[in-house]
Amino acid sequence: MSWHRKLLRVDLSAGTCVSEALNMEWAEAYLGQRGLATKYLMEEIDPKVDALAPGNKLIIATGPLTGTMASTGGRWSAVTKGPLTGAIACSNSGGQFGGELKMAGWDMIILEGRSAKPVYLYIENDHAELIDAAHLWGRSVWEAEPAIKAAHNDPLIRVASIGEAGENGCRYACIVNDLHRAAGRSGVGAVMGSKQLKAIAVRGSVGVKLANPKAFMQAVSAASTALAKSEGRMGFTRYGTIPMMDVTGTFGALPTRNNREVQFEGHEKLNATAMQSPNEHGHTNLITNGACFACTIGCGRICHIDPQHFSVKDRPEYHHASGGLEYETAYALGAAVGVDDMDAATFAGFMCNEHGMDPISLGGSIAAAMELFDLGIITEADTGGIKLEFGNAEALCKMAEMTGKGEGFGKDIGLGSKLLCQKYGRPELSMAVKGQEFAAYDGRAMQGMGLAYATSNRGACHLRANPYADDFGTTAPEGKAAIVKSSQDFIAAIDSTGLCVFTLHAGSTEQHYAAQIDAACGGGWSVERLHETGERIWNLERQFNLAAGLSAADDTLPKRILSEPAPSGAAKGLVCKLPDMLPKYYALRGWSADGIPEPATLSRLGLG
Amino acid sequence: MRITVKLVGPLADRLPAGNPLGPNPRSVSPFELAEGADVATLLRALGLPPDLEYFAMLNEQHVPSTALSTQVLREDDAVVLLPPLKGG
Repeated sequence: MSWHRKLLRVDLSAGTCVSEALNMEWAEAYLGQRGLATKYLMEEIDPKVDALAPGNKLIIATGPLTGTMASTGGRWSAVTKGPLTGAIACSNSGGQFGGELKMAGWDMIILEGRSAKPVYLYIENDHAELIDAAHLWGRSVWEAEPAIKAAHNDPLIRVASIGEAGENGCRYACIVNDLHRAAGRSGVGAVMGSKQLKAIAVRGSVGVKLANPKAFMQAVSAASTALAKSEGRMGFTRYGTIPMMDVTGTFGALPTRNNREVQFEGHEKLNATAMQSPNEHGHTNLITNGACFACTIGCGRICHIDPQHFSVKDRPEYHHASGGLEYETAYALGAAVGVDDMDAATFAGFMCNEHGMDPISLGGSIAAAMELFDLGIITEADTGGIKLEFGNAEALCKMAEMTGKGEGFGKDIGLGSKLLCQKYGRPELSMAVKGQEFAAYDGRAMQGMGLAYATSNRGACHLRANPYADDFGTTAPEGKAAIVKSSQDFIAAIDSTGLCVFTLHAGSTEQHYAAQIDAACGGGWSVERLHETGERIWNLERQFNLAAGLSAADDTLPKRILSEPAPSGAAKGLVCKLPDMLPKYYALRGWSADGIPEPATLSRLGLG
Repeated sequence: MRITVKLVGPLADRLPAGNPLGPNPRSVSPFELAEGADVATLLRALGLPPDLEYFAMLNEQHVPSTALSTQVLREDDAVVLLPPLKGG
């Protein structure tokens, strides 16, 4: 079956790397990746631990389909207690790293303790060792990854590393693999940095065994054919995710200037047409699309900045290609900060790739700072002379670089919007849930997304539920709780397989996932079991958060979304009806009115 | 009657060859439609496939999905058709 049945336990305090049998009872109950890693974390740490203390653990986990030929089967997750939220943090990435780790024969790596000096973990199949990384500390992702490949004289090593942001404790530092793919959200890179672990480098040639190869080939063929024929898949391949700018910009769900508005007048300067069209210098932002391991969607955008743009003029080191804007980055580094300059937003995105930051939280934090600046609560005396005004593209670029490097006011931006706004006495200006900044949808126009943000176990997130179609169909709150709950459960299962959640939006049916897992893992996997597994994972994450000290009071939204009506668009005059939806959601989950799973719910899911 | 129509994002790729909106359907285009037509009728007149997933804004107001077949259009109405994209 497609688990290797073993994990690598790395004690950074002791400097040891030990192979250990995977708990297969847990694997059958939680699959892999998000689910299985959460189970290990729950069993092995005190949820009240300081996220950046040695007692926290960081788990790097593959899924049973990672490293297989299933389309998008290259996903891996970083699971830990998050420094941005104090809640469970689970961040998912693609690229080539996850497939390589699985090919090396490992289902999971558990990183514990704290190294006395900077190190990186090198894995080559069964062999694993910690190597001195003093020469890499203080270096960016773009410097560290090539240096590690050169040191081992092997360009095919796959590397997941942190930049200076992770070293400096930026609360939303990410782990970047393959130079521009990332386990982006919730600050997993800061936890890696707190352990003085610069990178994980892996080379694998073991392969992945399947329980029923013939049935697996048939299941993969059926799923891949569905993707090939899907209009959603074609849109992702041709345009990436950025066409959503036009959709939410027209609908009125595009958070603009720290959610003061829901439509951005500059959205057509940040859309797919703008990305694909030459500018006044004849420069086109988009070069081509890109795909992760085994992916037949290819939603990634590979872009470059006009060499004449102010951000990179006389800086030829930034004239190359890297991962460009997606919808979320175009929102966070565009509409959220009121900037309609595609190259400036791309540069800020490059800073995230290079220094290892989540662009959503970076943009949300800069947007909050811009509102503080607009209100006169912070001034140029605080920002080091930078006019941190909405729409100031140069300020955006400077702040992104300063935050990545931990310089000046960038240290405040690196706190995240929650702590930043608390520091300056205006906590209500943080557009976040549980401390994690909003993704690119306003919860007044998209009521289901508002509920999804409020209830997401890792803080505000657009990838934990699938309310899109219903939200674009109606702004009425009725029925949203059931859609959010059901999709949260199934997505929790997908996030534990090794597949990309975008398959759900690109033609895959629930049966496609079940058939592939069933063939790979040795039978017994149905759609119903996947739903139940996802529900088990969701409730386990909830238990972690409750044990960490969170409560129903954290299942909420900023005052702005709950009490300030949307100023325009489909939801003009509406606020998010969270108070109507949340009790229904709790009831559907089998939770008490206080958001605590009932004993019968836990018993049914094997969590009691 | 004359209305204006704009298609957003990948929806424009679904128009058949020789579509009546001309070479730039992502811009606001005038369109002649029979009196009493609704949004669903407009889709058929544009040659868009019947299984198309879409939602609509009419004069900058959202048309709930349940009203797409009953929302009657009037002279000078501005219709924007959008794909209900997911993910991002």
